[in-house]
Amino acid sequence: MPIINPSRRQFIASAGAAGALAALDVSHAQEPSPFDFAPGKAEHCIMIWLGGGACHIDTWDPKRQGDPATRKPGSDYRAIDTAVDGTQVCEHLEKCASVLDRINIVRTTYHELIDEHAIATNMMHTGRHVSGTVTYPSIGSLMTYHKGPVNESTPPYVLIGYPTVSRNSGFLGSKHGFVYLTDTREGPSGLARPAAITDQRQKRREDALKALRDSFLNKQSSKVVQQYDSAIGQALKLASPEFMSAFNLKSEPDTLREQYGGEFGQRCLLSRRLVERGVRFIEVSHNLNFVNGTGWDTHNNGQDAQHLLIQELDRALSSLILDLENKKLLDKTLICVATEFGRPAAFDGGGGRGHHSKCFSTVLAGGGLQNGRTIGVTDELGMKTLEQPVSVPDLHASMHYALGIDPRKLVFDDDRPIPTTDMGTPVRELFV
Amino acid sequence: MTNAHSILSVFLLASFLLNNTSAQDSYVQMTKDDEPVTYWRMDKNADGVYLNSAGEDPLSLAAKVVGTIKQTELGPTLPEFPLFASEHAAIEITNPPGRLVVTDPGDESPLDFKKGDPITIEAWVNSSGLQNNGYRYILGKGRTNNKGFSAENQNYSLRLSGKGGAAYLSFLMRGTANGKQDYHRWESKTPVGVGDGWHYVVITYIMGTPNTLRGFIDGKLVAGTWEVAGDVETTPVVDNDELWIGTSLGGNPNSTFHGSLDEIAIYRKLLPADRIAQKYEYRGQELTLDTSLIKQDKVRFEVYENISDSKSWSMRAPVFLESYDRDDLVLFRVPHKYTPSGVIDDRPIPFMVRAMGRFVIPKGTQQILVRARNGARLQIDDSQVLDIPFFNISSSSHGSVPKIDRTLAPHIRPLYRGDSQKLISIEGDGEEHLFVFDMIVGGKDRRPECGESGIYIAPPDEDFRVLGHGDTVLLTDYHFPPYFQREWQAIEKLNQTKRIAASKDEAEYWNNRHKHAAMITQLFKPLSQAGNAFPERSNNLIDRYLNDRLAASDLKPTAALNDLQFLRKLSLDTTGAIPSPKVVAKLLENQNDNRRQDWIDYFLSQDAWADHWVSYWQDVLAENPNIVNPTLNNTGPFRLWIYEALLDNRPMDQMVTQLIMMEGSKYFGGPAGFELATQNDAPMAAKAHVLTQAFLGVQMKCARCHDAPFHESTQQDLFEIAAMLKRGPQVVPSTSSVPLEGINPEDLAVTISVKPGTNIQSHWPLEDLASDRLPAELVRYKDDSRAQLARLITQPLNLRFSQVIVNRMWKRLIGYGLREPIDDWQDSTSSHPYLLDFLARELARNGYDLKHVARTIFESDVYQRTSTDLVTNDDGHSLFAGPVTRRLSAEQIVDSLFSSSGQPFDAGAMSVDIDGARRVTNSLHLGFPRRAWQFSDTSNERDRPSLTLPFAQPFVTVMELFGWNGARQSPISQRQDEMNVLQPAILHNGILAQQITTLTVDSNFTRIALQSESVNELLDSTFRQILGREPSTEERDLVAPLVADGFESRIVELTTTERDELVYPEPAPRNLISWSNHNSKDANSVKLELRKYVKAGPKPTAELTPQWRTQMEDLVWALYNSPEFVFSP
Repeated sequence: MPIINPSRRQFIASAGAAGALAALDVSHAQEPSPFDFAPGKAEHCIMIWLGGGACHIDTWDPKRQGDPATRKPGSDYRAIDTAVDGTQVCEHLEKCASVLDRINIVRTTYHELIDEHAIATNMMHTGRHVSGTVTYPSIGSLMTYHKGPVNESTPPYVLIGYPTVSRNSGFLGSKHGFVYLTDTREGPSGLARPAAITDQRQKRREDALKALRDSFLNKQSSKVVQQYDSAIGQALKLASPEFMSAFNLKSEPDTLREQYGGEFGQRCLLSRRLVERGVRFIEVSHNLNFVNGTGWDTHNNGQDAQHLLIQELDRALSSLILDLENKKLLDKTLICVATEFGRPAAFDGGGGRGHHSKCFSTVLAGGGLQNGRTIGVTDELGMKTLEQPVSVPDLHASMHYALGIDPRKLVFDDDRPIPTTDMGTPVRELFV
Repeated sequence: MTNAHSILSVFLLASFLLNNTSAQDSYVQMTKDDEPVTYWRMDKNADGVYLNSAGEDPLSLAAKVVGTIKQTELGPTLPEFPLFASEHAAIEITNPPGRLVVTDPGDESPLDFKKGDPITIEAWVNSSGLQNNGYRYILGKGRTNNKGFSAENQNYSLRLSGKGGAAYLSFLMRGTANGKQDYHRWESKTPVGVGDGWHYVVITYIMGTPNTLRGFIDGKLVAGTWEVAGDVETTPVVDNDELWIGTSLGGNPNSTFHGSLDEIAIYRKLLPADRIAQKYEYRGQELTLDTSLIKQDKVRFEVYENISDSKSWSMRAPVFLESYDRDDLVLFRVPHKYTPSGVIDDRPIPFMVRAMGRFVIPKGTQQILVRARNGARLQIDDSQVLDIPFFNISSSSHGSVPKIDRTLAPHIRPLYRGDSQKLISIEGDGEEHLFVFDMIVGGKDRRPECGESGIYIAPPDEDFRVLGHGDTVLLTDYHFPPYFQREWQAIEKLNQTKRIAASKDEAEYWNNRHKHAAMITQLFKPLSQAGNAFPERSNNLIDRYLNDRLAASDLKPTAALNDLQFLRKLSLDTTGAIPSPKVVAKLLENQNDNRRQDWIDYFLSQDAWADHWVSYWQDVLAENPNIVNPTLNNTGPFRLWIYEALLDNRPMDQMVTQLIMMEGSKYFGGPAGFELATQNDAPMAAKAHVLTQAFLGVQMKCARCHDAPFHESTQQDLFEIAAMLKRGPQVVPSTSSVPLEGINPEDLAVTISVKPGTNIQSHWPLEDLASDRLPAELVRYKDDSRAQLARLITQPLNLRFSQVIVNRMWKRLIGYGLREPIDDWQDSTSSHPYLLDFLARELARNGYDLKHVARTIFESDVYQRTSTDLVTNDDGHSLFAGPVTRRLSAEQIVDSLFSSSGQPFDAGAMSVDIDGARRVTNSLHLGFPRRAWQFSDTSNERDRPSLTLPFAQPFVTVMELFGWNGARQSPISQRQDEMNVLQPAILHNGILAQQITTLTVDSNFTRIALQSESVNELLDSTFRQILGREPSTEERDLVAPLVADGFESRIVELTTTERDELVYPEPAPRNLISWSNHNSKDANSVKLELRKYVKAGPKPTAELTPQWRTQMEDLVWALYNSPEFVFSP
């Protein structure tokens, strides 16, 4: 690594200039808690990602019923009561409704990026607009950067879904990127030992490798070479049964596996197992477009079978909450259910819905928060915010704060100071 | 058939040429006879005023130019348009929009048309470029956005409306009907030709009167509809606003005509249909076929432009552009077109390729299979034998997944998504026959791609082979892909020849500049004398400057590299991969004293130099193409331009000038792709930041939104450079500002000196770093602020540019800069100022030749020493006792894995739109990677299995872990690639690692295993293949048992059938899914199946016993995973 002119960097860190969009003096930004309520104590975060843009009025923010057939605007489903007085959700979230007292719904998340999934997804993961001068890290990379690994032999950030630039580590570098897997039966790409490599072969390999490592280190003893060599040792450990057993879902009781449901449910179950092994941040993607053809991006006839996706989410999410609670992990684990935007009350020509980002729902559960709160109020069709808009920086600030991270703490892109969130403020009701 | 028949038809010039006096400009005469009120022939006088040829006074209702209008294109003329006998200029409307403006003389003027007034508007249009949706103004009265007029004051207008890649004739007026003011819009149902030359368009209408509007295209009445507000009685808006030609709405680019205009006239009467028919005559040249041009055993390819975008063969005169020869009748890609400056240019889409050659058709029944991406036809001898329909796949994403059909031949390669095929059966006679294959390439706003187009031939029930003169290539999944890749690369060579020819004049200019630069640098003050410490460790001035300082410290030069280590390191730094043992053995035959110089020359001359260095500049210049719906500050794929520039070893000052001028193709690899910055609020500000950081060591990252607290550069500075790039004022967007609402300015740690919304004029703010002092005779495009910026940065008196470049090279080759950080010099000093100056002058006085600087560094003793940890002092300076230990880059790792294993680099297409059904602006195709730099980010942000790239993903996964960035939203001078556990992990168990360590039929390790006569020989070869050396005695003793056990009985004798099975491995359902069908039910399962296939890895060879093979594989695994493999010596 180059040594950045240390005097200037130290100067910045001490004098404290803030980044572009938040050029506030550090006397505000660097205080341990800039807010008058205490930070949370969660240790882990599971972010469930509903890729495609989940319709808020068909899930967490039900409105008067419409009809896709006649293009009458409104929710596609009936609303039902929940464990929280005065808060209703749609009928396909029945199981979540019964545990809604462990869940907060933020009904007024918003941004203004609507044309294309990628840019909205990027906003929801990084909390920033693309700038061209800085590549911002995802919230997963930021959380693991701040909190570090729970233990050295566990990757801090696991993605169960496809690798994307928005989920990656931006200027924090590949060290703060994710390990990913796309099939719970296979384990993470690159870590799991191929089936053909028996223990005997592995030993053979490691013995030969040992000879070569030793002979090279005798010749070349640079620090970087030593570092790489010790990383080899750690990698061998990571691929060993100790960590890889996390991916053996078969060791869970059948009834529990059944309760979680299909591949998405198994992803959630795996997340719990990863939390148990010390993974800090897990993103679980739920956009299996074979369920209804389009995933959550329910244009046209994607709407027809959207309820199957919702039911799948209902089953997996409620199971995860109860399972974590049984294992005494719920207070330590923040669950976030996020999506890139919501969808409008009106139906398109094919009976589906377009994109809507003026207000949409995000869910924050467990994590030692004040649960059972419903944040923000939208209008009669869920098209506009009436009370308490929650910006993406505020949402991210709430998540960081739940893990005890100062959401305005500076991180550095080379020597450029950048606040962890775009000067977001945690949503007070979640903490007090 | 004999060759005497081969010339089918040759049309030269039509017969009217012989007898054309009576036709002398009869169009002009007819027009004047009909007494229009205005007739702009695009003649201008000395004052640049466009004259009115209608009446007596050419200055009455003449048009003046606002902005820039090009007057270069020829108007309609002979021989295609016989009514125009003399050559005549036209105007071309370019962006930023210029226009012709005609002042309305006042109330009741000849330009005003009230209700009931008859009007005829006619024009000749030559529309070019991509017709995005929008209304392109030929002319309009009113709706100028001029002050003092209503914005909605269109008296009348004639336009082309772009829809789905075609252009339609459109008339628009504003009128009051039933007490309500509204726009009334008529549009033709027949399109006007685009990209195929001049067309004649006319409308006649009695203003505000139903059933009177008639539209004519090329003299013919065409049907149309009133699309807005209907065909009703209406009272048109009439005022004294101007009449504009070429654009409207204040010069809105979306309302601006693309292409040329000529012969525009307005009449206060209705021209009758028969008169309009009389005014259009077209005589196209037919396509000629001259088979005498076919060379022996070659296929001649001809490229034609001027093809109408109409999915039809009834085309106007295609214009022959160029030809080239290949061996076989296949068409996978067409060579690039180049601008005169030698950068990739866009061909007008569509274009046509004709391929012709003579082939023997063997005796007996033969099947001829034709595959084509778009409309195509095949002629054998005199007759057309088949045609392939035009491309017809909707981009909607709901198309179905085709079933794989392998019935045509035993191992046939299934049809590639997007291609169509037809089969004919003929009786062969053992004689030679003429084959002529025509294909239209691209069209309807789609990329001009060829798929696997070509002619394949076979007797029934046998595998098809490529019809050609080269080696026999079978159309199977096993034989075809490497052939495809070779052909693809062969076009690369043609491209090089073409661009060097196209840019001869340009090269001359740069030669002159470099003479000037050499002269100027002679005038610089002589450098300080270098000392003579460690004379035995001093090869050139580099060492003398370094050793001087080293001697004054307690450090000593590190040990020298031996020849093998030196070759490995040199190969990595020039070609980007470890050298093959064969090359090393060959080079080692040279044991002369100056052998290392020879080796340096050898490696510098390799084309792979470009493959290695392109990714460096991709990072530095934030090249960031996105294969799906680019919205994340994405650029065009200007990687191709970087690659070509490096391949040609283009001088650095010329390269930077080309980058700044941003010319050529935006979406297909020209430097115009640098201009793009999707969803960025101020693209040119982003580019200004890239350029100053890359080439001047000036950091303006913070200045994007506010004055940088610790940098001298202000936001004003950055936006001034942005304005230079924009060639006009640049607004500071509010999103590039600090929101000040509710903030006490006292609390701010930064200064906000520019208010959002401020319009910043172009100006060069870094006067103290560089000034524009090139001699007048070398100054081109004097008034162009972009050209000026390029001069400011690259002119030879600006030694800062050369210093920054050589410092970048130094860092890449030695591991740490002479000045750090390399992209931000404000507060740093150089550790060896004389050395930095020496290298900078070397660059400037040697024609800005990067290879010259690289050679100087390679020749130095310091480069040839063993590496060491970085040690710096308080100033951040290093003394360079030796180079800094470098881990291989992501690209070097991947490329070295494959170059050493010898297995095919099988990554598939870098595209999710493999059939090319989507618009150019929505999806890119980055080709078929053969080297690591050719990948890009694979994310689609949709999490759909059907949009994944199962073959590319394992490469991308390895590369990202080793610090490569597939998406470069911002420029990168130094990758963040700290050591982490996932790096060795992915090489232990990742998919790519599994592939490389599997002993497949095509693996070098299989070859070594089969050929080695002893365990020692096997070990020597294997070590050489991966680590570039032989094992030490100790290593040999330790690893030999691994492969000694069973060595003697390792080889398995195979039956013929078993050998066949080796050649035809398990087929996979490849090339079936594109964007156009990714939302169909089967698309996910096909992709998941492919993923499984990739994960399972290639089949190991059956030529070795499984037991022994796995032992050997474990040895190979251990060697690749040795830390030695990932470090440069």
